[in-house]
Amino acid sequence: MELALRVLLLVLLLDAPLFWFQRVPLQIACGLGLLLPALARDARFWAGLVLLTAWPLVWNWPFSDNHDYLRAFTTLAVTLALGAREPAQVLRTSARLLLGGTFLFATFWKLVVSPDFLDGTFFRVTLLADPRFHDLAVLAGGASWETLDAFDAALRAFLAGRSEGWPGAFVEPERLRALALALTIFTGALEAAIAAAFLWPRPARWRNVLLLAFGASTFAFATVRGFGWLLMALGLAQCEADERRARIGYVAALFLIESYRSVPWSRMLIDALGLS
Amino acid sequence: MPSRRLRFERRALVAPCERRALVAPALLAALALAQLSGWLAFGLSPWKGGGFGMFATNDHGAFRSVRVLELAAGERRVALPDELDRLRRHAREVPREANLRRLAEALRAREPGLGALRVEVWRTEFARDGLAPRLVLVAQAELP
Repeated sequence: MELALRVLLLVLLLDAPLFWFQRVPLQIACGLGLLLPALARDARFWAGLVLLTAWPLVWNWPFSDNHDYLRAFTTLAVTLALGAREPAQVLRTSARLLLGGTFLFATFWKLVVSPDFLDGTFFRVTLLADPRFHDLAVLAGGASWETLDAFDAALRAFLAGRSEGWPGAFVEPERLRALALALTIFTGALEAAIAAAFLWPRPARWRNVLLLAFGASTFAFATVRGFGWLLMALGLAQCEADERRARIGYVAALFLIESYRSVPWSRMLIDALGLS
Repeated sequence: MPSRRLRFERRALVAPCERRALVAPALLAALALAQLSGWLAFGLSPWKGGGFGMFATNDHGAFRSVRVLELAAGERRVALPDELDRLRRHAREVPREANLRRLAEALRAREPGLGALRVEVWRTEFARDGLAPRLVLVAQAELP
C-alpha cells in the first residue's frame, strides 16, 4: 500500500489540473505527502486532496476530461480506505472496482451506444483527422501525408459551409480501412475483457496482463499521459500482496507511457523507413 | 445441502468487504449514468461529463459547431466574438436550452441592435461509404 500511495501522489503531482490556481495547491500538497510519509498515510490529508481534485470539476464544468473525474474518485477511495480497519484491502477493492467501472462504461459507449465505433468509422476518421494518430496512419494504414492533407482540406471546406469541397483530392487508402477495423476489434475486445476481469468478484490473475497490455498499446499513440498514469497507479493499488511481478509491471508501464510522450519514436521510425 | 466446493465458491463470490470500499466506485457509476442520461436528454457531449465516452464516437467538440442566426430579415448568420468563446464552447458541449439562450442573451447584450436570434448546435456525421460528412442538428433555441 505504501508504494501505491506514493505512486498516486506522484501521478497527482505530475498530472495536475490545467489552471495554475488549481494546479499549484495540489502540487504543493502532493509534494508534502511525498516528503512526509506520515502525511501520506493520514486520511485527513487525503480528504484535503479530494477537495483539491474535486473543485476543479465544478469550476471547469463541462470541460474536464474523464480522467479528471477518475482522479477525484481515486483520492476519495484512498481517504475512505485509510480510515478503515483494513486499509490495504479496502483500497484494493476500491481500485479494482474503479478500474472495472471505468472500462465498463468505456465499453458500453463503444459497443452499445456508438454505431460509428462499431462500424469502424470512428477510427477511420480519427486516423485521418487527429494529429496524434497521423503517424500510425502513415506507418500502418498506408496513408501518405498528401492523403492526410487532402482529408484536412476537404473537411475544412465542408465545415466552412463549402459542401462542394468534399471530397476534393481525398481518396481513402484501402489499408487504412483495414487498420481501423483492426483497431476497432482490438480496442473493443480489450476494454470489454478488462471490465470483466476487474469486476469479477474474485481477483483474476490475468487482469493485470490485460491492463498492462492496454497501457503498453493504447498510450503509444493516444498520448493522454495523465489517464494512462492514473490507470497504472490504480492497477498498482489493486494488486494482491503476492503479486510482485504485476507491481513491477505497473511501475514499468508508468515509465513506458511517459517515454511514449517524450520520445518521438513513431516519427523516428517514419524517418528510418523513408516515409517522411 | 450444498457440497463443500459449492459453499466455498458462494462465500468467495460474496467476499465480505467494508462498504466504504464501494463508495467511490458507486459514485463513478452514478456520474457515468447521469452523463448518459444527459446525452440522451439534451445532447451532452459523449466525451465530456465523466461518462467515459471518449474515443468511442466522432461526436465531440472538434466536430460540433455552434451557429447563431438573426431571424429579423430572413436568416443572417451572426459572428460570435472571442469574448463569448467560453459560452460558445459550453453550449457546444452541453446544448441545453438554457445554455443556448444564455449565449444568445450574452450576444444581445453586446449588440443590442440584434433582432430575434436562434442558436443551433450541430454535430458532424461521417458516411460509412467514403466518409462524406453531413451535419446533424443536436439542439436549437430561440430568443425573441
